[in-house]
Amino acid sequence: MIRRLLLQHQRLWLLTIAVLGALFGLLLLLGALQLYFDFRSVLTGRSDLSQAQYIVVNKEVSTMNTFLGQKGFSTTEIAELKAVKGIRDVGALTGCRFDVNVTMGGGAIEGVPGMYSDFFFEAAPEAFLDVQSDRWRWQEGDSVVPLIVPKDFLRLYNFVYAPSQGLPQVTEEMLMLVPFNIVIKSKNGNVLYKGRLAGFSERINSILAPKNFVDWSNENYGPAVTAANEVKFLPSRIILQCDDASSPELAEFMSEKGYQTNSENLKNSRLSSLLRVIMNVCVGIGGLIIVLALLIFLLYTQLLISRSSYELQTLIRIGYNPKMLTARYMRYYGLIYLGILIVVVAVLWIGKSLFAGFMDEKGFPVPDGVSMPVVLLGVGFMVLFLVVNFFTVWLGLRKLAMPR
Amino acid sequence: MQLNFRNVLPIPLADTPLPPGSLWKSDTSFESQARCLVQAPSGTGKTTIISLLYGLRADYEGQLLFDNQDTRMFSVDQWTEIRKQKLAIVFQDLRLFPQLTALENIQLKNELTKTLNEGRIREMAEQLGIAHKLEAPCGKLSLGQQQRIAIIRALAQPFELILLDEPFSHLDEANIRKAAELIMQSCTANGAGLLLTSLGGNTHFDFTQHLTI
Repeated sequence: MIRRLLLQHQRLWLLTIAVLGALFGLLLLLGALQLYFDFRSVLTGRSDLSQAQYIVVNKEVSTMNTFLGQKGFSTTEIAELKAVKGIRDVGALTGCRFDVNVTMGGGAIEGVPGMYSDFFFEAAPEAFLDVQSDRWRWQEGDSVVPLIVPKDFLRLYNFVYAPSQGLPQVTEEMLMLVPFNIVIKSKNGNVLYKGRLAGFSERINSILAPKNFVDWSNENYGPAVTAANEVKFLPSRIILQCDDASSPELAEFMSEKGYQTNSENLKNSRLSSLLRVIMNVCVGIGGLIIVLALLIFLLYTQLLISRSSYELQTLIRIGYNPKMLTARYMRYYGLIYLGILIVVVAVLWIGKSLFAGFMDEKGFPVPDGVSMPVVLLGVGFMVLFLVVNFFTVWLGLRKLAMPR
Repeated sequence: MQLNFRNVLPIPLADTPLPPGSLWKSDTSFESQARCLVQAPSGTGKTTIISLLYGLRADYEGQLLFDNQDTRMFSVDQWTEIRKQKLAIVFQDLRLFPQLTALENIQLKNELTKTLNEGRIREMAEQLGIAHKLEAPCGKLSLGQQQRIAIIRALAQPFELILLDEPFSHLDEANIRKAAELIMQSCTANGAGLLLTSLGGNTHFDFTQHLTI
């Protein structure tokens, strides 16, 4: 009965326009966002945007460097990098300031050829490592030094070197069992350490020793750092922890400064920036339509209230509480918005599975379903609509209820 | 409930000369159990009294007190409760919903407090001679029939005072007598009083108080 009274003056054509507006606006905005998420996951190979990405950066090598010696990253340059938007943290890779050899086997272990090589290692701040291992620790007095090597080394050996030499392939676990010796040529003669592999890194393409070991041995075995040679020992490579390695801003900054990286991600930044422009346009248009739809809903509500003012006023006069009447209207709008949301998510879902099938065929696997942030944004918009409607209805009814 | 007019003057009447003994600008109080008659020619503010008492207007000077509480301070919630539990009303313009049937109009009010069952509503309609019209849309009824529906609707709640704004203007003497009887029955049952505005006199109620405006 009350429903009939409250809604008898609804104008279906106006409601239809408002609903269609909200539907298309939301579809465009959420669709663009979903597309952006999906392309990002194709471009960067990850689906989770909150996860940080790491890239190792060095300065460009020029002929001049070759003769004059390479300059590392100064404290100011590192601070500058830290200030770049999207970069969360910067860590310096510390090199060693002395010569190192490594010797292995020498026939002592069957199947492992004897080997002697000049060697090097670096240290990265712990927070930047992607290897978790019990072996990864060193303290003063320990004779065993754990090392982390790039996974690429293992791949090169297993798939390139071993087949060509007729050698067997090895696993990570096997390699971690192999002992070797590290010979450090210090200013006071040779020092011998035992080396063990602690893990394999995808992130940092270098041989890593624990930072405290590198710092300690630089101090004890390397030349003293003075004002004169300080520049020579600045870190030549740094590692960046950033939100998005394919961000166009980062790419621009790097090329401006003459920094280089091995990351594919930076090369994707062109595509990424194009994608961002398209997304911004879609989000802009979608947002505009949504705002207009919100406006139509607002006017529609005001119209509905003012057309129903006799009914509303009379209901209030015979003892109906404006709060209860407001709740009735909120239920009405809540159902409309829920409907819009369900339709939008369903359309996105269907569109997404068609798109995912298409992308799969082209060899770009796309994660299934609609992303949670996209759905949440849709819910957020509908809540915003509901809040705006609530105030429109409540203020309108209060005006009718108050003595004049 | 005690009702108290303290120096009340509706702003539209500010320039009008007041007759001696007028309710306006006086200190007048009466109990809700009283039976008051406000008899005055049209355009002198009969409906205004009803509107003030029912919390529809705020354009007056002075204070209107219910049990020593200034009604100006009442919130929307408080007025809603008063209209559900203490004040019943028959509006001069009836304020029925023409698109609903007569019975639905009564039920709409009755549902708030569930005071009457359908049997009782039919009985009351029978008493006023409109039982056969309960299923008809209100918009299709004559003014006299609508007035009787409005009266039954007003009685479909508990109350301490019923405000009757020229409720019998479209009824003949026989029907006025029946309606007055029904109203008095309800007042007695509720221990309530009434306040009636009328152009002429009314002999069907035993008034205890006459208000001049």
